[in-house]
Amino acid sequence: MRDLIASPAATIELVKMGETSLSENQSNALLSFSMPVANEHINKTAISEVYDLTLPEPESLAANPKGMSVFWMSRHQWMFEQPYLVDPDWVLNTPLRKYGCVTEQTDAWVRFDLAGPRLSLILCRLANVSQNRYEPGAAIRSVIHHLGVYLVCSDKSKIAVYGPRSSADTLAEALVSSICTANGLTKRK
Amino acid sequence: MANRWENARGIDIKRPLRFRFDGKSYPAFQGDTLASALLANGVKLVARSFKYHRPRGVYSDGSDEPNALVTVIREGHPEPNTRATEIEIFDGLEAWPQNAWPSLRFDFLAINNHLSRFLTAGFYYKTFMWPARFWESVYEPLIRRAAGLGRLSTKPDPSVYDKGYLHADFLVVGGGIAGLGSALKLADNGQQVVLMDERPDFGGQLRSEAEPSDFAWLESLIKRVEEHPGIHCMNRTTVFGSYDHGVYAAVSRNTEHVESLPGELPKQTLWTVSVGRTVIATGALTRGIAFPNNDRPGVMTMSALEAYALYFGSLQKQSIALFVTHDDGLRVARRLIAAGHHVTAVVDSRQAVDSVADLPHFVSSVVTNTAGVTGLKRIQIRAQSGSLRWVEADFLGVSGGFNPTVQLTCHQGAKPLWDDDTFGFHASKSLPRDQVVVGAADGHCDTLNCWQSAMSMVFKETGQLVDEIIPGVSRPLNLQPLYQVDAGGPAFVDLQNDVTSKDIVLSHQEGMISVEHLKRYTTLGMATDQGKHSNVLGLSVMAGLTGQTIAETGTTLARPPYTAVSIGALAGRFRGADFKPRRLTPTHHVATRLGARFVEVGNWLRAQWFPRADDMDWQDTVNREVTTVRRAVGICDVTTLGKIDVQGSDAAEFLNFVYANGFLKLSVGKVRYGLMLREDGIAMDDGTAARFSENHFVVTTTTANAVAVYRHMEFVRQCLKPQLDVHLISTTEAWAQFAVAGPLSRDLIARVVDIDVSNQEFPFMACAEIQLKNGLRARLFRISFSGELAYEIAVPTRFGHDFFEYLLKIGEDLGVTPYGTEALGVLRIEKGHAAGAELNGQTSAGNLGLGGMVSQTKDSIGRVLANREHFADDATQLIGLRPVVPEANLVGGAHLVELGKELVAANDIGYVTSVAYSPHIGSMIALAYLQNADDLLGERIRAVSLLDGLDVEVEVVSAHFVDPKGERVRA
Repeated sequence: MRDLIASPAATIELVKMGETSLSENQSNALLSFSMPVANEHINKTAISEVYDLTLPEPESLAANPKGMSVFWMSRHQWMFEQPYLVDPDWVLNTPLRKYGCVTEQTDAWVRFDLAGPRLSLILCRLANVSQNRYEPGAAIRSVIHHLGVYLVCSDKSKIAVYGPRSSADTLAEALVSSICTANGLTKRK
Repeated sequence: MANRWENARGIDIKRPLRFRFDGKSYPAFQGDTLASALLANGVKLVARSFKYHRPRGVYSDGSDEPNALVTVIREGHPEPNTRATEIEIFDGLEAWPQNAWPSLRFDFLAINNHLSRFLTAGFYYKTFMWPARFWESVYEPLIRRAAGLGRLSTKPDPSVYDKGYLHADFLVVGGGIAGLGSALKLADNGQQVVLMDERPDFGGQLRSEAEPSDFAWLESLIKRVEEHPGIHCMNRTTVFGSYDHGVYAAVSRNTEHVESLPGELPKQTLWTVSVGRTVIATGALTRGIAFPNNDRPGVMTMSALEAYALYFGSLQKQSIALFVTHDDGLRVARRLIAAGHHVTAVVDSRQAVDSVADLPHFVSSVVTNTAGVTGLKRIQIRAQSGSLRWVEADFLGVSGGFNPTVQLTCHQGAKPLWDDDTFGFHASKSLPRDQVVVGAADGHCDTLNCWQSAMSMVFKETGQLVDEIIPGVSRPLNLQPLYQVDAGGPAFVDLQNDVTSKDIVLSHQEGMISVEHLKRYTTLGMATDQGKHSNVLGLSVMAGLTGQTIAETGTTLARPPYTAVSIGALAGRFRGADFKPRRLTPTHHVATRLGARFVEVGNWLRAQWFPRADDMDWQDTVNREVTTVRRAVGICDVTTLGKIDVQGSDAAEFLNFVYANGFLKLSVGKVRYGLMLREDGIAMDDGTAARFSENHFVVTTTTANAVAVYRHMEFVRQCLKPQLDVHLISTTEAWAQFAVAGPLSRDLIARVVDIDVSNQEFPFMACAEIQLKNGLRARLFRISFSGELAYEIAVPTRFGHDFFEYLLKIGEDLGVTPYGTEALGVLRIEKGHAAGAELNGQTSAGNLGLGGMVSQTKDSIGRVLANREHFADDATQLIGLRPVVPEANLVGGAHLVELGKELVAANDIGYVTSVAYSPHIGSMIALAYLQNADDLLGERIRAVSLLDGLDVEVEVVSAHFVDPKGERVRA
């Protein structure tokens, strides 16, 4: 049996307009981790030691120097992320299994990387989020065009938008429209 | 330039433009509004009034305009009821008058003006009463044709609209002197401020009022505000609604002031603004006076006249008169004269005021009439002595005082209060908690006091004193109120609705005592201007009739929107194909390439069938797909089924509680069909739960109930069973799942998986986490919805597209076919499997024939109420039906009646839930709920649909049309 070809989630053309760019990130793997309430403190400490990062508080992102990052999803639940090629069988091999339940999420989400200055001017047309919240290290749960999303800021000029994979085109269209609008209206003025 | 004042600050005479109005081309300049350009070109008549079709001209210079409503053509699309006072001219603008036929100048319905004595308030309520049959056929169509102002296009609006969200510490509404000062000083104190103003430029009324030296200061103030990093400045943005918890709605007009390209940028953006505090600095509107024939084109508010004469420079070589009740008229008159205008009269209604020598100042006098055919030529002045005189005037500026713009303070229910010092309605003392009112909106009518009120607010909000000195002096109005002049002739209180003071008198005589009744009976204060000019005048007339004060008379309460908002802005991008988000299956693009027809299933687009060139029609396609599955093998994308990962040491116990049947003893590597009940015992959803390990299950749900079931399970986890160690997460999107069904399905599956899928090693209801032959992780289930030997195989979603194509390729020799939801439906009806039509929120496990699945040996949701008394009385059972005559049709929803029984509700013994043409049976077949099903099995009854005109004799049969013993699925 031949190897299967992976498809991108979005099929519409993504953009580079002015200083803003939008691309689909297909190189990272995702894993959700849900931790039992019991022994929470012990487990958190153990995970910190294993991964050299602290499980972040609500609306926050943490990262370690090895390229792994994690953001808070909901109570006792986090999303871990690392480059897919680090371990294609990450879900089977992860030490997190010792501390709670893991579920492979790589294919459940589409991740769009939005880069450029003043990204809040683009996102303010999509998500009901104060621009003050787009600070480095923020992982904001919100809604874009009726779709649940996470908006994760690694730094001021880079925001990753995670949305449901099946609606990747809807989400991409929304992002592209807003980039065009924000750029176009700025130019008009 | 001959007709423009060279010192006009509102226009750029170096940038000439052209526009068209009523089919004629006119010159204009950058900065002009349609109103200022028309006035500059000598066009006074711009509209016809609503009811009497009287000639009407520009009355104001802003969003409060009641008269000058026109239809603008943009991108070939007409937009009616657009205010000429807000339309910024761009090169090539095209506008048309409305509510006139055959032309604006010669309007046929102007005859209404001569019939005005018959067309008084309540006219519609009293007439057209007989003959009654004429109402729908004659009267209503005629009235509808005559009523209204502009006409909506029936074509879709080609413009793009957008939405957005803003957050700030402070929202400042209004960019006049108070708003500018508030925004600047709040931002200086570290607050994040959004400043919104509906006009193209900040500065408010001061832009047209300011002397040159003050204007320079104003420009520098605006520059400081616009350059301040803490202030988000938004011009051309109207805040139209105030809502709970500091939420405001606003519309930005992005491209209406420029010639836009079709579909390029959003014409308007609807903003939802969430703020901590809101500064209402919306200013005040000049109040008119109701005097006879006060609606003649050329009569306008004094502030508008000042703007058109001195800011836009549109009234050159025109004679101008003013009719005022306060000192500001003298200031305006002197400015006009200084600019070279011919001021013929300053009619001052106040008593005991000394006449000024440098002006034609008529004190203790009123305007009692106007003259001119389609535009003002003369005004009649009545002195205190009663003597009358006519004075030439091309334009008359009227000011009876000022109405603070407090509508935004009313939207949450705070009624404004009458203020006896300023003779206007002020904001309630019980404002929404986030609001504070400053400037003219708070009753201050000069630059200095507006600024000081803003600074006082800043001190209260921040605790910081502001000591900036501004040019400007306190300028008391010395107002003596006058609302109407009674001198015979129609004195218009509401220009937009053609309501005169006589209409109000009549309405009062006819028992309309409350202001709310007055409004509804006369239509005072309705339509696009929402009473901005008419409200106080109407109340004053009403107060005079009842002997009360205006304060005692009260007022109606303004509601959102402050100005009309287009439906397009409210819809934003959510229209047409973008009305809701789309969910595409992993195989969507393969299916598209194969020519599949799609059907919406919630937000999903699913392939409905896959036509081939030699198929005669869709039915032929579906029959082919069904037959292929029954005889060979078919593949259907079932990714849309809900998939919920259930993990934890108590996962089995949790499922045992959620499902009506038992799950504690389900072996690892096995799948079990599960029935989920609601608390009331009604069937909620069905599906399967596969156990991959001791602590790991994967639950599948129906596509339709995926979200509802997940929500239900989360409720159970968090609220009913919080002590259990169980973790839920939806993985619907993560796995591309395919039903591979048919007698040859094993052959196809064996070609891609690395395990033994023989019946012995992988029997019916087995499951496993496996690897494909290429090493890709996958999940395999031996389950069947079709009633055939079948598997469901899941791979990571990103590979779903290629995997589907691969299966179709390697299965060619087996005769494999893709099949869609239509064939899926036929297959499951033939097998007698329940789906959405059967799980319709009214049926119990017993109705479904699954009563035995509700375990009585354990607790589960819905068990207690499923056992309640009389619950089993509804003994309808799911059965099958087939027409006695094979060619006969069947329809869903048909009701069932025994043969020979009268067709009445009392004889209704059941209803049809699902129908399909079965190529296996060779006729239509149906699933239905039927009373006494066991007794009627094999009998003939009638299926009747009065809606479809169907009355068919059918035979009651088993719901399992195919393989009733279930041998195929276990093969």
